[in-house]
Amino acid sequence: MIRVLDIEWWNEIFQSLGRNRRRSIFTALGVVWGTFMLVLLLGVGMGLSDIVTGEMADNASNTTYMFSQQTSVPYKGMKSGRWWNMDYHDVEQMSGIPEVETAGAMGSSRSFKLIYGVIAHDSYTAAYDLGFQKIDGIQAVEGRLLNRIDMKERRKVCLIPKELAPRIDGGNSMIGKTVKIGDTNFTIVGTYVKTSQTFMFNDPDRTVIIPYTTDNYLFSRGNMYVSAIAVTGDIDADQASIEESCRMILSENHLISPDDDKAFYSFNTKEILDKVKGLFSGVIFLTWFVGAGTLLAGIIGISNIMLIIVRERRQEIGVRRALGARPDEIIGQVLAESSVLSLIAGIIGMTAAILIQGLLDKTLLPVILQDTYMSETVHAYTLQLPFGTALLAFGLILAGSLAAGILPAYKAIDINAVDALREE
Amino acid sequence: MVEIENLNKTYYNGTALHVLKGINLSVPDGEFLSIMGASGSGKSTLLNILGILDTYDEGSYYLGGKLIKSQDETQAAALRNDMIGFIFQSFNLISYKTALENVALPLYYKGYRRKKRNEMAMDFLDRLGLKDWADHRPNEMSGGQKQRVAIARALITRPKLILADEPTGALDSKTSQEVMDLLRKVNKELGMTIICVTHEKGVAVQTDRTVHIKDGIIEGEESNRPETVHSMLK
Repeated sequence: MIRVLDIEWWNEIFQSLGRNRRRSIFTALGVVWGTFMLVLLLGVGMGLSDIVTGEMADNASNTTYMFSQQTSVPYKGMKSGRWWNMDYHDVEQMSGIPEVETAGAMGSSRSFKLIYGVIAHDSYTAAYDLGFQKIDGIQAVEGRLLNRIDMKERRKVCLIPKELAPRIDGGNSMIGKTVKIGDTNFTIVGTYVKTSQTFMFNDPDRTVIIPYTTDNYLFSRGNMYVSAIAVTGDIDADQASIEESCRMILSENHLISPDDDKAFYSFNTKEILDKVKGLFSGVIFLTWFVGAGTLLAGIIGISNIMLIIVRERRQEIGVRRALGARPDEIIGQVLAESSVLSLIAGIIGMTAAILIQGLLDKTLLPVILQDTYMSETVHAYTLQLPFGTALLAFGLILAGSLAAGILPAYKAIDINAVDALREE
Repeated sequence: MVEIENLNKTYYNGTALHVLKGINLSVPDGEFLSIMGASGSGKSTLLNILGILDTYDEGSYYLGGKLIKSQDETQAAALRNDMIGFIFQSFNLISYKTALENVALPLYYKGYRRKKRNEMAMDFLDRLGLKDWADHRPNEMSGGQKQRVAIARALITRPKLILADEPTGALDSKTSQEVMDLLRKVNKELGMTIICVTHEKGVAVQTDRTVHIKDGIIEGEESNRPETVHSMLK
């Protein structure tokens, strides 16, 4: 195959493709489109999958959330249908479970007016302890998060969402300023952004976070109730066994039957993550299937046109054989023509898709990541196809383009030189 | 140059068709031979076997002392490239290549370098008075010019044997005569053996010997005196 180095060999290929330029271009369009779709869809699919699963995995992927509900089984003298509350002792006990890394709780959520000067804003409070603050993965945009001393001294401090902050005082920093929540003055110590969307408030843009202890003392009459408990296990901890231990604790502390499945509701992030991952691998599989199918259709188009070209050139192929062209040279020429056509088309399609992906990175991605903590690090994410996958897609085109030539090539050497030379 | 003994060929196309029924033919080096016969007589099949474009069933075919039998297509291609030059009725030039590229094509398959190929091709075109037409494509040339390009292509590898299939079939009488003169010149000056299939008596008599083929066997042959005919025409 030393011919690859011979300019005449390339001339022959481009001469014969160029002879019917319009037909070559239209045929190649099928492969251009197929490659374009494959690369574009794969890149966007894999990019979105990375963003979504990455976000979930980043944020304590081994977490169980628990909420109390009405009981459904009578137990130890307690009748069914009873309302009950989890309390802070449960949390303390749960943090003692061997495989648990962090346990945290959220107290009640209340609706308040947040007043600064003469302007009031509708808002909600959410009472976080330090464990919940860590698990929920909120990050300080300005100022700081809640700390041990806030908790210990039941300080009247609060964190406001970064969306709310600029609306309070005409865009001026609110750190250190005092606002009235209900009838109590609170000092704003930070603005925050939520990095996890596993656990969401009804109205995240208006939710003010205050220390659990402060809420309990100011608004909840010291009842130590909690409305949600979050428990994060060690990296390789078995979430099901942690969940079971937590249930036992709740069951014992609150006289709830261990068999009562309805008395509390729980979900864990690992299960959700697995479901989402499964969903995305389905999407990506479908993308491969559809994209590769489109590409295949394009390649079949090229194969078809090569069959026609071979038929049109019966006489020429006959002459070449009479002049001493070996069968492998005829096969090589047909294969080269179909591969050159497909490869050029593939490269054009891939380039177009990559350019579009670059454009999407600049336009669509910031929109998708808007209002998430990732909007700060939008450059860390991309809808571009990973290099390895691009290589794989390129290999697919290469294999497909060679395959496109096989049938026409064998048709070409099947041509009876004698008959071909006599026709005209 | 060519020794054929008891050559048989049957085509199986649904029914068996016995095309060549024991051909015996001996062509000495340097002979200019013509084969005449009606269509369906088997002369084309014979020419194809001679050109190693087709195989035969029985008998033997020696080309330049070498038995031509049961070679694969790759070997056949090399033999054709080395030993045989083809001239066709319909010229069979490649339409999108220039005269020079057409003439150089057999050298391409011989593996010569581009520069060498083009030098040799230009040299042959020059000898045939087609130097000015080197960069023209076949559709810009007359029938006579096309056939001369085709002859140049057949000669460029300096084969021992030229097979011409109705070389004048598509040409007018004047051009036909020019082509026959050229073939005669090639035969004399380069000493090439030429086998020419024709159905024109006027062409056949200009060769050294004419073999008549009918229904797959050689029916008869006659010696011509081309020198006399030739001088008469001049």
